[in-house]
Amino acid sequence: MSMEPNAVLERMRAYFERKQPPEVLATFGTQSPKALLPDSLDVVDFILYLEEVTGCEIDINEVGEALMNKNFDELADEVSRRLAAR
Amino acid sequence: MRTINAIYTAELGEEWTNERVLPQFEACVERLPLPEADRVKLRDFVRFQLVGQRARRVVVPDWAKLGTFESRAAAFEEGAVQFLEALAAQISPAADAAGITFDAVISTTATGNLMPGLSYRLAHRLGGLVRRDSMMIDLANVGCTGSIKAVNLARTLDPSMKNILIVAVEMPTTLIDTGGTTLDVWQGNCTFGDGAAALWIGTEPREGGLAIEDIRYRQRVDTGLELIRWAYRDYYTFALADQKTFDENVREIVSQTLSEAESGWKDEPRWAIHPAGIILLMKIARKLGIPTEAIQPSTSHYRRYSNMSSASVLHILRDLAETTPPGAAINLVTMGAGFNVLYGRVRRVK
Repeated sequence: MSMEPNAVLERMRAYFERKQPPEVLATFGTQSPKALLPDSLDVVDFILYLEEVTGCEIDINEVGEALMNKNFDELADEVSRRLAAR
Repeated sequence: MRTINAIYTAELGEEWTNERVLPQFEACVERLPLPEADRVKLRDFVRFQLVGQRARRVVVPDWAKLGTFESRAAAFEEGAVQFLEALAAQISPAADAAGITFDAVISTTATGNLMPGLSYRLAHRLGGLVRRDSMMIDLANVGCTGSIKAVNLARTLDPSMKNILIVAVEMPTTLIDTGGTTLDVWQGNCTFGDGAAALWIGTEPREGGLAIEDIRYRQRVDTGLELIRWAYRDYYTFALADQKTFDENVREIVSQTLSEAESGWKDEPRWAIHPAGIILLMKIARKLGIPTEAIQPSTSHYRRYSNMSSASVLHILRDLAETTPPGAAINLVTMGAGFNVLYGRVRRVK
């Protein structure tokens, strides 16, 4: 399954719709996953959500580095690339 | 039917939060003889393993100085003795008050090796509560499922053995290997914490007791030898099969075990689940229709203590038992080494 980075980003943003204030959502792509997912269980819940909306299993360890060091734009690129490689 | 009449837990050592552990581990990773790309990958992996608010108890006074076999084995013995003394101090007055002696003592640990074993050392601290003709058994190399395997063993013993004591002592921080370069070694470093617990299992139920209704065992010796095991360098180290194989096989085996036992758990919302692989458990729970709240006692334990190997599920069971009304059941799930899964169900009797 493939999905464009923008589509992945939009689905990621939807996860935070009622969880984050409008100013955070307005600049969502530049936000840090580490800041918006402060707890390991938040990370797990987010990944499970992503698996559901992309229909594809995501190895949390594979995207762990992106979750730690990149913003959501870059994470969406990473996920999109991994989905296309399946 | 046998009943868990009392659960004793010991919380010793110092609390180490992720926030406190991470800079120490990062410094260790910086010193490893690795190509830069591999170092960055390992550092990010460690950061990811330690994301969020989580802590563990560490009984070893200075784990960073552990290195030789001697230092690790000695740390295990010293810590295990502290745990046994703490548990004995709780067990003795309770057994005295109940007017019982123990017909058998069963111990379990996967994180150290002592001779004489833990059962012998606990009995030594319980004086006359363990008679000279009482049976003493030490289970070894059983991993995180050890305590429920011990319960399973206890329930099959002859009814003439009326009171059985089970003790689980785990000191996984004696295995911390900061010189390791593989991801699974560091996953072990980041995952575990020290802990211990004991159970008094009797043939006569007491107030607050938990009747042991069911224990189901699924082992996969055909395919599971490499999934979770000890490797070794100067001492034993935590080792996993590659992540994909691990995830797929473990999920399949745990799912099968729980599916087979579904009639027993589907109407019972309380779960004491060994806190390993929270991601995996959440996926399985979703698949089997187990509500997310069912994982909550395990995730709460994991946040506070991390994974205490075989002692964890007993801590979680004790917490749940306190709020379980008479007649309600608690489901037990443990999984670990090689690959084994145990499902059990206990029910509050009165």
